[in-house]
Amino acid sequence: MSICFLKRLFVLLLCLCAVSPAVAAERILALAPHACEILYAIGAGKDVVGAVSYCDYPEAAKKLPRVGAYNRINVEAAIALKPTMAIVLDIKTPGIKQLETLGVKIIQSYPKLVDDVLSDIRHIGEATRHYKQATLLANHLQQRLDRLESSRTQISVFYEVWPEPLLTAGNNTFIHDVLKRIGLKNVFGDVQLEAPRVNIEAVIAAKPQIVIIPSEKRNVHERTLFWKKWLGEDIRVISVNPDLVHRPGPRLLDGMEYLQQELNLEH
Amino acid sequence: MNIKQNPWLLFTSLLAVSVVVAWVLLGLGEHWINPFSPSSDMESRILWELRSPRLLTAFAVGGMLALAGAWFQVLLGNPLAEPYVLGVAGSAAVGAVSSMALMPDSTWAVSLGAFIGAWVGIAVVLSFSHLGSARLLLAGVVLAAFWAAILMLLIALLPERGVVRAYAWMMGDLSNSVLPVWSLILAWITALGCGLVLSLSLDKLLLGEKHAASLGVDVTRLRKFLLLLASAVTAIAVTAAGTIGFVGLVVPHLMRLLFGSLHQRVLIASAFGGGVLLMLADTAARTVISPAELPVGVLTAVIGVPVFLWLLLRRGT
Repeated sequence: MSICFLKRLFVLLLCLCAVSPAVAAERILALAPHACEILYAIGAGKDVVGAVSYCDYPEAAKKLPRVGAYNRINVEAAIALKPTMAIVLDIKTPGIKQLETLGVKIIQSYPKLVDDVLSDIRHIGEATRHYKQATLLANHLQQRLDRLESSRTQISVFYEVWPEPLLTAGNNTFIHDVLKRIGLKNVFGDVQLEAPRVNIEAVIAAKPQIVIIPSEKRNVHERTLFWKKWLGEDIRVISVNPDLVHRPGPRLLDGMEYLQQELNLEH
Repeated sequence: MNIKQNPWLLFTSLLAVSVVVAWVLLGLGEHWINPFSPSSDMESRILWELRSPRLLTAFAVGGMLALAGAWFQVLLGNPLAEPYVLGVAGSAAVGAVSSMALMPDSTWAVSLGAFIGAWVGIAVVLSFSHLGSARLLLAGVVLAAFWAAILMLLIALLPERGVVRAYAWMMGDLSNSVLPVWSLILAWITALGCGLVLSLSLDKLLLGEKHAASLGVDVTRLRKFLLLLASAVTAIAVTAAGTIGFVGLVVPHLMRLLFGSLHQRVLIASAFGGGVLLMLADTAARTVISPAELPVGVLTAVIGVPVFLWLLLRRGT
Protein backbone atom coordinates (compact mmCIF):
# COMPACT_ATOMS: atom_id res chain seq x y z
CA MET A 1 0.00 0.00 0.00
CA SER A 2 2.74 2.40 0.98
CA ILE A 3 4.50 1.68 -2.31
CA CYS A 4 1.33 2.48 -4.19
CA PHE A 5 1.01 5.72 -2.25
CA LEU A 6 4.59 6.67 -2.97
CA LYS A 7 4.04 5.95 -6.65
CA ARG A 8 1.04 8.23 -6.73
CA LEU A 9 2.90 10.92 -4.85
CA PHE A 10 5.78 10.62 -7.33
CA VAL A 11 3.44 10.95 -10.30
CA LEU A 12 1.78 13.95 -8.66
CA LEU A 13 5.16 15.59 -8.06
CA LEU A 14 6.18 14.93 -11.66
CA CYS A 15 2.97 16.56 -12.87
CA LEU A 16 3.58 19.55 -10.63
CA CYS A 17 7.09 19.91 -11.91
CA ALA A 18 5.94 19.80 -15.49
CA VAL A 19 3.01 22.14 -14.97
CA SER A 20 4.23 24.74 -12.51
CA PRO A 21 6.77 26.58 -14.75
CA ALA A 22 4.15 26.89 -17.46
CA VAL A 23 1.71 28.41 -15.02
CA ALA A 24 3.92 30.85 -13.13
CA ALA A 25 5.08 33.71 -15.37
CA GLU A 26 8.78 34.49 -15.54
CA ARG A 27 10.03 37.60 -13.82
CA ILE A 28 12.53 38.99 -16.30
CA LEU A 29 15.35 41.50 -15.89
CA ALA A 30 16.22 43.29 -19.12
CA LEU A 31 19.89 44.13 -18.52
CA ALA A 32 20.59 45.81 -21.86
CA PRO A 33 18.61 48.44 -23.79
CA HIS A 34 18.21 46.27 -26.90
CA ALA A 35 17.05 43.30 -24.79
CA CYS A 36 14.39 45.50 -23.25
CA GLU A 37 13.11 46.52 -26.68
CA ILE A 38 13.06 42.93 -27.89
CA LEU A 39 11.09 41.77 -24.84
CA TYR A 40 8.42 44.40 -25.38
CA ALA A 41 8.31 43.73 -29.12
CA ILE A 42 7.65 40.01 -28.62
CA GLY A 43 4.90 40.62 -26.08
CA ALA A 44 6.94 39.71 -22.99
CA GLY A 45 6.80 43.30 -21.72
CA LYS A 46 4.43 42.47 -18.88
CA ASP A 47 6.93 39.97 -17.49
CA VAL A 48 9.78 42.48 -17.32
CA VAL A 49 10.35 43.53 -13.71
CA GLY A 50 13.57 45.53 -13.97
CA ALA A 51 15.83 47.26 -16.44
CA VAL A 52 19.09 49.23 -16.68
CA SER A 53 20.06 52.74 -17.78
CA TYR A 54 19.07 53.72 -21.33
CA CYS A 55 16.20 51.20 -21.43
CA ASP A 56 14.02 53.98 -22.82
CA TYR A 57 11.89 52.31 -25.46
CA PRO A 58 8.94 51.71 -25.58
CA GLU A 59 7.40 54.30 -23.26
CA ALA A 60 6.41 51.61 -20.70
CA ALA A 61 10.06 50.64 -20.25
CA LYS A 62 10.88 54.08 -18.82
CA LYS A 63 8.83 53.29 -15.72
CA LEU A 64 10.71 50.08 -14.87
CA PRO A 65 12.88 49.99 -11.75
CA ARG A 66 16.60 50.35 -12.60
CA VAL A 67 19.28 47.97 -11.37
CA GLY A 68 22.39 49.74 -12.67
CA ALA A 69 23.86 49.99 -16.16
CA TYR A 70 24.37 47.22 -18.71
CA ASN A 71 28.04 46.98 -17.71
CA ARG A 72 27.57 47.53 -13.98
CA ILE A 73 24.77 45.55 -12.36
CA ASN A 74 23.68 46.24 -8.79
CA VAL A 75 23.13 42.64 -7.70
CA GLU A 76 21.22 43.47 -4.51
CA ALA A 77 18.79 45.77 -6.31
CA ALA A 78 18.37 43.12 -9.00
CA ILE A 79 17.68 40.31 -6.52
CA ALA A 80 15.20 42.48 -4.59
CA LEU A 81 12.96 42.33 -7.67
CA LYS A 82 12.82 38.50 -7.31
CA PRO A 83 13.75 37.79 -10.91
CA THR A 84 13.69 34.30 -12.41
CA MET A 85 15.45 35.22 -15.62
CA ALA A 86 17.85 37.89 -16.88
CA ILE A 87 18.68 38.83 -20.47
CA VAL A 88 22.25 40.15 -20.44
CA LEU A 89 24.59 41.61 -23.03
CA ASP A 90 27.67 39.82 -21.80
CA ILE A 91 27.78 37.01 -19.24
CA LYS A 92 31.24 38.17 -18.19
CA THR A 93 29.80 41.41 -16.78
CA PRO A 94 30.52 41.66 -13.02
CA GLY A 95 27.53 40.50 -10.98
CA ILE A 96 26.03 38.20 -13.61
CA LYS A 97 27.79 35.16 -12.14
CA GLN A 98 26.31 36.02 -8.74
CA LEU A 99 22.82 36.33 -10.19
CA GLU A 100 23.25 32.89 -11.70
CA THR A 101 24.34 31.34 -8.39
CA LEU A 102 21.30 32.91 -6.78
CA GLY A 103 19.13 30.92 -9.15
CA VAL A 104 18.41 33.43 -11.90
CA LYS A 105 18.40 31.94 -15.38
CA ILE A 106 20.86 33.89 -17.52
CA ILE A 107 20.36 34.37 -21.25
CA GLN A 108 23.01 36.14 -23.26
CA SER A 109 22.18 38.35 -26.21
CA TYR A 110 25.25 40.01 -27.69
CA PRO A 111 24.50 40.57 -31.39
CA LYS A 112 27.69 41.27 -33.34
CA LEU A 113 26.08 41.20 -36.78
CA VAL A 114 22.71 42.19 -38.19
CA ASP A 115 21.72 38.52 -38.58
CA ASP A 116 22.42 37.91 -34.89
CA VAL A 117 19.65 40.34 -34.01
CA LEU A 118 17.08 38.13 -35.73
CA SER A 119 18.41 34.91 -34.22
CA ASP A 120 18.56 36.52 -30.78
CA ILE A 121 14.92 37.60 -31.10
CA ARG A 122 14.00 33.96 -31.80
CA HIS A 123 16.21 32.75 -28.96
CA ILE A 124 14.76 35.20 -26.43
CA GLY A 125 11.26 34.28 -27.65
CA GLU A 126 11.97 30.63 -27.01
CA ALA A 127 13.42 31.22 -23.56
CA THR A 128 10.55 33.45 -22.44
CA ARG A 129 7.90 31.24 -24.08
CA HIS A 130 6.80 33.91 -26.54
CA TYR A 131 8.13 31.92 -29.44
CA LYS A 132 5.19 32.55 -31.75
CA GLN A 133 5.35 36.33 -31.60
CA ALA A 134 9.13 36.27 -31.70
CA THR A 135 9.09 34.15 -34.86
CA LEU A 136 6.54 36.46 -36.48
CA LEU A 137 8.66 39.50 -35.62
CA ALA A 138 11.88 37.87 -36.79
CA ASN A 139 10.31 36.76 -40.07
CA HIS A 140 8.91 40.21 -40.67
CA LEU A 141 12.29 41.82 -39.99
CA GLN A 142 13.94 39.25 -42.26
CA GLN A 143 11.60 40.22 -45.11
CA ARG A 144 12.43 43.90 -44.63
CA LEU A 145 16.11 43.05 -44.46
CA ASP A 146 15.88 41.11 -47.73
CA ARG A 147 14.29 44.09 -49.43
CA LEU A 148 17.29 46.32 -48.64
CA GLU A 149 19.50 46.82 -51.65
CA SER A 150 22.77 45.49 -50.39
CA SER A 151 23.98 44.77 -53.90
CA ARG A 152 24.18 48.34 -55.09
CA THR A 153 27.47 49.81 -56.25
CA GLN A 154 29.55 50.35 -53.17
CA ILE A 155 29.33 53.93 -51.94
CA SER A 156 32.13 54.78 -49.53
CA VAL A 157 31.09 56.19 -46.19
CA PHE A 158 32.75 57.60 -43.10
CA TYR A 159 30.81 56.89 -39.92
CA GLU A 160 31.53 59.45 -37.21
CA VAL A 161 31.00 57.49 -33.99
CA TRP A 162 32.30 60.39 -31.92
CA PRO A 163 33.62 63.81 -33.00
CA GLU A 164 36.20 64.61 -30.31
CA PRO A 165 38.27 62.52 -30.26
CA LEU A 166 37.33 61.52 -33.78
CA LEU A 167 36.25 57.88 -33.49
CA THR A 168 34.85 55.60 -36.17
CA ALA A 169 33.83 51.95 -36.49
CA GLY A 170 36.43 49.39 -37.50
CA ASN A 171 36.24 45.88 -38.85
CA ASN A 172 33.97 43.26 -37.23
CA THR A 173 31.77 45.83 -35.57
CA PHE A 174 28.01 45.95 -35.58
CA ILE A 175 27.99 49.34 -37.32
CA HIS A 176 30.33 48.03 -40.01
CA ASP A 177 27.87 45.21 -40.74
CA VAL A 178 24.88 47.57 -40.76
CA LEU A 179 26.63 49.75 -43.35
CA LYS A 180 27.56 46.73 -45.44
CA ARG A 181 23.99 45.49 -45.47
CA ILE A 182 22.69 48.69 -47.00
CA GLY A 183 25.35 48.71 -49.68
CA LEU A 184 27.79 51.11 -48.10
CA LYS A 185 31.53 50.65 -47.85
CA ASN A 186 32.98 51.71 -44.51
CA VAL A 187 36.22 53.54 -45.43
CA PHE A 188 37.89 52.30 -42.24
CA GLY A 189 36.41 48.81 -42.57
CA ASP A 190 39.85 47.21 -42.76
CA VAL A 191 41.11 48.64 -39.45
CA GLN A 192 41.24 45.79 -36.94
CA LEU A 193 40.07 47.85 -33.99
CA GLU A 194 36.61 48.25 -32.55
CA ALA A 195 36.49 52.02 -32.28
CA PRO A 196 39.67 53.36 -33.90
CA ARG A 197 40.58 56.94 -33.24
CA VAL A 198 41.40 58.50 -36.59
CA ASN A 199 43.02 61.66 -37.83
CA ILE A 200 41.13 64.13 -40.06
CA GLU A 201 43.92 63.68 -42.59
CA ALA A 202 43.17 59.97 -42.77
CA VAL A 203 39.50 60.74 -43.48
CA ILE A 204 40.47 63.19 -46.23
CA ALA A 205 42.79 60.59 -47.76
CA ALA A 206 40.07 57.91 -47.62
CA LYS A 207 37.81 60.10 -49.78
CA PRO A 208 34.39 59.08 -48.46
CA GLN A 209 31.36 60.05 -50.57
CA ILE A 210 29.07 60.22 -47.56
CA VAL A 211 29.49 61.04 -43.88
CA ILE A 212 27.01 59.60 -41.40
CA ILE A 213 26.65 61.41 -38.07
CA PRO A 214 24.65 59.98 -35.18
CA SER A 215 22.53 62.86 -33.91
CA GLU A 216 23.29 62.12 -30.27
CA LYS A 217 25.00 64.70 -28.09
CA ARG A 218 26.59 66.79 -30.79
CA ASN A 219 25.90 69.81 -32.87
CA VAL A 220 24.95 68.24 -36.20
CA HIS A 221 24.97 71.57 -38.02
CA GLU A 222 28.49 72.36 -36.81
CA ARG A 223 29.74 68.91 -37.78
CA THR A 224 28.14 69.21 -41.23
CA LEU A 225 29.95 72.50 -41.84
CA PHE A 226 33.15 70.93 -40.58
CA TRP A 227 32.99 68.04 -43.04
CA LYS A 228 31.99 70.30 -45.91
CA LYS A 229 35.08 72.34 -45.17
CA TRP A 230 37.43 69.36 -45.35
CA LEU A 231 35.74 66.97 -47.77
CA GLY A 232 34.35 69.51 -50.22
CA GLU A 233 31.05 71.32 -50.54
CA ASP A 234 29.41 68.41 -52.34
CA ILE A 235 29.95 65.89 -49.51
CA ARG A 236 26.69 64.32 -48.40
CA VAL A 237 26.19 64.39 -44.62
CA ILE A 238 23.39 62.26 -43.18
CA SER A 239 22.41 62.38 -39.54
CA VAL A 240 20.66 59.44 -37.96
CA ASN A 241 19.19 58.57 -34.57
CA PRO A 242 21.87 56.34 -33.02
CA ASP A 243 19.31 54.27 -31.12
CA LEU A 244 18.05 53.00 -34.47
CA VAL A 245 21.46 52.06 -35.82
CA HIS A 246 23.73 51.22 -32.88
CA ARG A 247 21.16 49.37 -30.83
CA PRO A 248 20.79 45.82 -32.03
CA GLY A 249 17.06 45.65 -31.32
CA PRO A 250 13.80 45.42 -33.30
CA ARG A 251 13.98 49.05 -34.44
CA LEU A 252 17.23 48.38 -36.32
CA LEU A 253 15.39 47.94 -39.60
CA ASP A 254 13.75 51.36 -39.13
CA GLY A 255 17.22 52.86 -38.97
CA MET A 256 18.55 50.89 -41.93
CA GLU A 257 15.51 51.73 -44.05
CA TYR A 258 15.86 55.38 -43.08
CA LEU A 259 19.50 55.42 -44.19
CA GLN A 260 18.68 53.69 -47.45
CA GLN A 261 15.86 56.13 -48.10
CA GLU A 262 18.19 59.06 -47.47
CA LEU A 263 20.70 57.56 -49.91
CA ASN A 264 18.04 57.05 -52.56
CA LEU A 265 17.01 60.69 -52.38
CA GLU A 266 20.22 61.46 -54.17
CA HIS A 267 20.74 58.50 -56.45
CA MET B 1 83.43 78.31 -28.41
CA ASN B 2 81.80 75.84 -26.07
CA ILE B 3 78.05 75.51 -26.39
CA LYS B 4 77.80 74.85 -22.63
CA GLN B 5 79.44 78.15 -21.79
CA ASN B 6 77.46 80.49 -23.99
CA PRO B 7 73.70 80.65 -23.44
CA TRP B 8 73.10 82.56 -26.67
CA LEU B 9 74.89 79.96 -28.70
CA LEU B 10 72.89 77.26 -26.90
CA PHE B 11 69.65 79.13 -27.58
CA THR B 12 70.31 79.68 -31.28
CA SER B 13 71.56 76.17 -31.95
CA LEU B 14 68.56 74.59 -30.15
CA LEU B 15 66.23 76.91 -32.02
CA ALA B 16 67.80 75.82 -35.29
CA VAL B 17 67.51 72.12 -34.36
CA SER B 18 63.85 72.62 -33.39
CA VAL B 19 63.02 74.38 -36.64
CA VAL B 20 64.68 71.65 -38.71
CA VAL B 21 62.90 68.88 -36.77
CA ALA B 22 59.56 70.70 -37.04
CA TRP B 23 60.04 71.17 -40.78
CA VAL B 24 60.71 67.47 -41.33
CA LEU B 25 57.80 66.41 -39.09
CA LEU B 26 55.51 68.79 -40.96
CA GLY B 27 55.92 66.62 -44.03
CA LEU B 28 54.97 63.42 -42.20
CA GLY B 29 51.38 62.28 -41.94
CA GLU B 30 48.89 60.17 -43.82
CA HIS B 31 50.96 60.97 -46.94
CA TRP B 32 54.36 62.62 -47.21
CA ILE B 33 53.86 66.22 -48.29
CA ASN B 34 56.89 68.28 -49.20
CA PRO B 35 56.51 71.43 -47.05
CA PHE B 36 58.35 73.48 -49.69
CA SER B 37 56.01 72.59 -52.51
CA PRO B 38 52.58 71.15 -51.68
CA SER B 39 51.19 69.79 -54.93
CA SER B 40 47.57 70.81 -54.48
CA ASP B 41 45.36 73.25 -52.65
CA MET B 42 44.16 70.49 -50.28
CA GLU B 43 47.76 69.53 -49.50
CA SER B 44 48.68 73.05 -48.53
CA ARG B 45 45.54 73.29 -46.39
CA ILE B 46 46.53 70.03 -44.66
CA LEU B 47 50.00 71.45 -44.05
CA TRP B 48 49.01 74.86 -42.73
CA GLU B 49 45.59 74.26 -41.18
CA LEU B 50 45.96 70.75 -39.75
CA ARG B 51 49.59 69.82 -39.24
CA SER B 52 51.36 73.05 -38.37
CA PRO B 53 48.97 74.26 -35.62
CA ARG B 54 49.18 70.84 -34.04
CA LEU B 55 52.98 70.73 -34.24
CA LEU B 56 53.33 74.20 -32.75
CA THR B 57 50.86 73.34 -29.99
CA ALA B 58 52.92 70.21 -29.24
CA PHE B 59 56.11 72.26 -29.16
CA ALA B 60 54.73 74.93 -26.82
CA VAL B 61 52.99 72.45 -24.51
CA GLY B 62 56.02 70.14 -24.34
CA GLY B 63 58.35 73.05 -23.63
CA MET B 64 56.10 74.47 -20.92
CA LEU B 65 55.70 71.08 -19.24
CA ALA B 66 59.47 70.61 -19.19
CA LEU B 67 60.02 74.09 -17.75
CA ALA B 68 57.37 73.54 -15.08
CA GLY B 69 58.98 70.19 -14.27
CA ALA B 70 62.40 71.80 -13.83
CA TRP B 71 60.91 74.45 -11.53
CA PHE B 72 59.00 71.97 -9.39
CA GLN B 73 62.13 69.83 -9.02
CA VAL B 74 64.11 72.71 -7.54
CA LEU B 75 61.17 74.17 -5.61
CA LEU B 76 60.40 70.90 -3.86
CA GLY B 77 64.05 69.80 -3.76
CA ASN B 78 62.96 66.45 -5.11
CA PRO B 79 64.12 64.81 -8.35
CA LEU B 80 60.82 62.96 -8.67
CA ALA B 81 58.77 66.16 -8.82
CA GLU B 82 56.90 66.90 -12.05
CA PRO B 83 54.26 69.44 -13.12
CA TYR B 84 51.35 67.29 -11.95
CA VAL B 85 52.79 66.40 -8.55
CA LEU B 86 50.80 68.98 -6.62
CA GLY B 87 47.48 67.88 -8.06
CA VAL B 88 47.02 70.64 -10.64
CA ALA B 89 46.44 68.07 -13.37
CA GLY B 90 43.99 66.21 -11.16
CA SER B 91 41.87 69.27 -10.45
CA ALA B 92 42.05 70.26 -14.13
CA ALA B 93 40.83 66.79 -15.10
CA VAL B 94 37.97 67.09 -12.61
CA GLY B 95 37.04 70.42 -14.22
CA ALA B 96 37.29 69.02 -17.75
CA VAL B 97 35.29 65.88 -17.04
CA SER B 98 32.60 67.81 -15.15
CA SER B 99 32.09 70.07 -18.13
CA MET B 100 31.95 67.00 -20.40
CA ALA B 101 29.12 65.75 -18.23
CA LEU B 102 27.29 69.09 -18.05
CA MET B 103 27.76 70.28 -21.64
CA PRO B 104 28.41 67.19 -23.73
CA ASP B 105 28.17 68.84 -27.16
CA SER B 106 30.42 71.80 -26.50
CA THR B 107 34.07 71.84 -27.55
CA TRP B 108 35.35 74.86 -25.66
CA ALA B 109 33.58 73.97 -22.39
CA VAL B 110 36.09 71.18 -21.76
CA SER B 111 39.04 73.56 -21.99
CA LEU B 112 37.27 76.16 -19.89
CA GLY B 113 36.48 73.48 -17.30
CA ALA B 114 40.09 72.32 -17.29
CA PHE B 115 41.35 75.88 -16.87
CA ILE B 116 38.99 76.67 -13.99
CA GLY B 117 39.77 73.29 -12.41
CA ALA B 118 43.51 73.91 -12.68
CA TRP B 119 43.21 77.29 -10.97
CA VAL B 120 41.05 75.87 -8.17
CA GLY B 121 43.81 73.32 -7.67
CA ILE B 122 46.46 76.04 -7.69
CA ALA B 123 44.52 78.15 -5.17
CA VAL B 124 44.37 75.21 -2.79
CA VAL B 125 48.08 74.47 -3.24
CA LEU B 126 49.04 78.12 -2.75
CA SER B 127 47.46 78.12 0.69
CA PHE B 128 50.12 75.55 1.63
CA SER B 129 52.99 77.52 0.09
CA HIS B 130 54.35 78.68 3.47
CA LEU B 131 55.11 75.06 4.42
CA GLY B 132 58.54 73.58 3.80
CA SER B 133 59.31 71.52 0.70
CA ALA B 134 58.59 68.15 2.26
CA ARG B 135 55.24 69.21 3.70
CA LEU B 136 54.25 71.02 0.51
CA LEU B 137 55.02 67.86 -1.42
CA LEU B 138 52.98 65.76 1.01
CA ALA B 139 50.05 68.15 0.78
CA GLY B 140 50.30 67.99 -3.01
CA VAL B 141 50.35 64.20 -3.11
CA VAL B 142 47.32 64.01 -0.82
CA LEU B 143 45.49 66.61 -2.91
CA ALA B 144 46.31 64.67 -6.06
CA ALA B 145 44.80 61.57 -4.48
CA PHE B 146 41.70 63.57 -3.54
CA TRP B 147 41.23 64.86 -7.10
CA ALA B 148 41.82 61.37 -8.45
CA ALA B 149 39.02 60.08 -6.24
CA ILE B 150 36.61 62.78 -7.42
CA LEU B 151 37.62 61.98 -10.98
CA MET B 152 36.82 58.28 -10.47
CA LEU B 153 33.45 59.25 -9.08
CA LEU B 154 32.68 61.41 -12.12
CA ILE B 155 33.80 58.70 -14.52
CA ALA B 156 31.66 56.12 -12.74
CA LEU B 157 28.66 58.40 -13.26
CA LEU B 158 29.37 59.31 -16.89
CA PRO B 159 27.65 57.42 -19.71
CA GLU B 160 29.89 55.11 -21.71
CA ARG B 161 30.62 57.48 -24.60
CA GLY B 162 31.51 60.21 -22.14
CA VAL B 163 34.05 57.85 -20.59
CA VAL B 164 35.80 57.41 -23.95
CA ARG B 165 36.11 61.15 -24.21
CA ALA B 166 37.30 61.55 -20.63
CA TYR B 167 40.03 58.93 -21.10
CA ALA B 168 41.12 60.51 -24.37
CA TRP B 169 41.49 63.82 -22.58
CA MET B 170 43.42 62.25 -19.71
CA MET B 171 45.88 60.55 -22.06
CA GLY B 172 46.64 63.85 -23.77
CA ASP B 173 45.11 65.15 -26.96
CA LEU B 174 46.76 67.78 -29.11
CA SER B 175 44.21 67.64 -31.91
CA ASN B 176 41.47 69.66 -30.24
CA SER B 177 43.20 72.59 -28.59
CA VAL B 178 40.88 75.59 -28.42
CA LEU B 179 43.70 77.92 -27.36
CA PRO B 180 45.09 79.70 -30.42
CA VAL B 181 48.61 78.68 -31.37
CA TRP B 182 50.06 82.19 -31.06
CA SER B 183 48.87 82.43 -27.46
CA LEU B 184 50.64 79.18 -26.60
CA ILE B 185 53.86 80.29 -28.25
CA LEU B 186 53.59 83.59 -26.39
CA ALA B 187 53.09 81.70 -23.12
CA TRP B 188 56.13 79.56 -23.94
CA ILE B 189 58.30 82.66 -24.54
CA THR B 190 57.03 84.36 -21.36
CA ALA B 191 57.65 81.21 -19.32
CA LEU B 192 61.19 80.84 -20.63
CA GLY B 193 61.85 84.57 -20.06
CA CYS B 194 60.66 84.41 -16.44
CA GLY B 195 62.71 81.28 -15.92
CA LEU B 196 65.89 82.90 -17.22
CA VAL B 197 65.42 85.97 -15.03
CA LEU B 198 65.15 83.65 -12.03
CA SER B 199 67.88 81.25 -13.06
CA LEU B 200 70.62 82.63 -10.82
CA SER B 201 68.35 82.57 -7.74
CA LEU B 202 67.34 79.02 -8.63
CA ASP B 203 70.98 77.96 -8.71
CA LYS B 204 71.38 79.40 -5.22
CA LEU B 205 68.20 77.69 -4.02
CA LEU B 206 69.66 74.41 -5.22
CA LEU B 207 72.35 74.79 -2.54
CA GLY B 208 69.71 74.75 0.17
CA GLU B 209 67.43 77.43 1.59
CA LYS B 210 69.88 78.64 4.24
CA HIS B 211 72.71 79.04 1.77
CA ALA B 212 70.39 80.79 -0.65
CA ALA B 213 69.24 83.21 2.04
CA SER B 214 72.82 83.97 3.02
CA LEU B 215 73.56 84.70 -0.64
CA GLY B 216 70.88 87.38 -0.66
CA VAL B 217 67.87 85.49 -1.99
CA ASP B 218 64.46 86.28 -0.50
CA VAL B 219 63.63 82.59 -0.23
CA THR B 220 60.00 82.93 0.88
CA ARG B 221 59.10 85.27 -1.95
CA LEU B 222 61.04 83.26 -4.50
CA ARG B 223 59.31 80.04 -3.48
CA LYS B 224 55.89 81.62 -3.61
CA PHE B 225 56.51 83.16 -7.02
CA LEU B 226 58.01 79.96 -8.37
CA LEU B 227 55.04 77.94 -7.17
CA LEU B 228 52.64 80.35 -8.85
CA LEU B 229 54.66 80.49 -12.07
CA ALA B 230 55.11 76.74 -12.39
CA SER B 231 51.45 76.10 -11.60
CA ALA B 232 50.21 78.71 -14.07
CA VAL B 233 52.37 77.30 -16.85
CA THR B 234 51.10 73.80 -16.03
CA ALA B 235 47.52 75.09 -16.11
CA ILE B 236 47.99 76.52 -19.61
CA ALA B 237 49.59 73.31 -20.87
CA VAL B 238 46.84 71.16 -19.39
CA THR B 239 44.11 73.41 -20.80
CA ALA B 240 45.60 73.11 -24.27
CA ALA B 241 46.29 69.41 -24.39
CA GLY B 242 44.98 67.46 -21.41
CA THR B 243 47.40 65.57 -19.20
CA ILE B 244 50.53 64.42 -20.97
CA GLY B 245 52.80 62.57 -18.61
CA PHE B 246 56.53 62.03 -18.54
CA VAL B 247 57.74 65.11 -20.47
CA GLY B 248 57.81 67.26 -17.34
CA LEU B 249 59.57 64.62 -15.25
CA VAL B 250 62.29 63.43 -17.55
CA VAL B 251 63.19 66.24 -19.93
CA PRO B 252 64.77 68.45 -17.20
CA HIS B 253 66.85 65.51 -15.96
CA LEU B 254 67.82 64.66 -19.50
CA MET B 255 68.97 68.23 -20.07
CA ARG B 256 70.94 68.25 -16.80
CA LEU B 257 72.73 65.11 -17.95
CA LEU B 258 73.53 66.73 -21.28
CA PHE B 259 74.29 70.32 -20.29
CA GLY B 260 75.09 70.33 -16.55
CA SER B 261 72.88 71.62 -13.78
CA LEU B 262 73.16 75.41 -14.03
CA HIS B 263 69.59 76.64 -14.45
CA GLN B 264 70.23 79.02 -17.29
CA ARG B 265 71.21 76.11 -19.54
CA VAL B 266 68.76 73.62 -18.04
CA LEU B 267 65.82 75.94 -18.62
CA ILE B 268 66.77 76.90 -22.19
CA ALA B 269 67.45 73.28 -23.07
CA SER B 270 64.27 72.03 -21.37
CA ALA B 271 62.05 74.55 -23.14
CA PHE B 272 63.34 73.32 -26.51
CA GLY B 273 63.90 69.68 -25.55
CA GLY B 274 60.39 69.22 -24.16
CA GLY B 275 58.98 70.82 -27.27
CA VAL B 276 60.95 68.63 -29.64
CA LEU B 277 60.14 65.46 -27.67
CA LEU B 278 56.42 66.20 -27.74
CA MET B 279 56.50 67.06 -31.44
CA LEU B 280 58.19 63.71 -32.14
CA ALA B 281 55.78 61.83 -29.88
CA ASP B 282 52.71 63.44 -31.41
CA THR B 283 53.87 62.79 -34.96
CA ALA B 284 54.47 59.16 -34.01
CA ALA B 285 51.00 59.07 -32.41
CA ARG B 286 49.49 60.26 -35.68
CA THR B 287 51.43 57.94 -37.95
CA VAL B 288 52.55 54.61 -36.45
CA ILE B 289 49.22 52.76 -36.69
CA SER B 290 47.77 55.02 -39.37
CA PRO B 291 44.93 55.51 -40.25
CA ALA B 292 44.18 54.99 -36.56
CA GLU B 293 45.77 57.26 -33.96
CA LEU B 294 47.40 56.54 -30.58
CA PRO B 295 47.17 58.63 -27.41
CA VAL B 296 50.22 60.90 -27.32
CA GLY B 297 50.88 60.27 -23.61
CA VAL B 298 51.79 56.67 -24.42
CA LEU B 299 54.43 57.72 -26.91
CA THR B 300 56.16 60.34 -24.78
CA ALA B 301 57.03 57.52 -22.39
CA VAL B 302 57.89 54.99 -25.08
CA ILE B 303 60.28 57.42 -26.77
CA GLY B 304 61.62 59.12 -23.65
CA VAL B 305 62.29 56.22 -21.28
CA PRO B 306 64.90 54.34 -23.35
CA VAL B 307 66.77 57.55 -24.16
CA PHE B 308 66.80 58.55 -20.51
CA LEU B 309 67.90 55.14 -19.21
CA TRP B 310 70.65 54.95 -21.81
CA LEU B 311 71.97 58.36 -20.75
CA LEU B 312 71.81 57.38 -17.05
CA LEU B 313 73.85 54.24 -17.73
CA ARG B 314 76.36 56.06 -19.89
CA ARG B 315 76.93 58.74 -17.26
CA GLY B 316 76.97 56.18 -14.44
CA THR B 317 80.15 54.45 -15.58
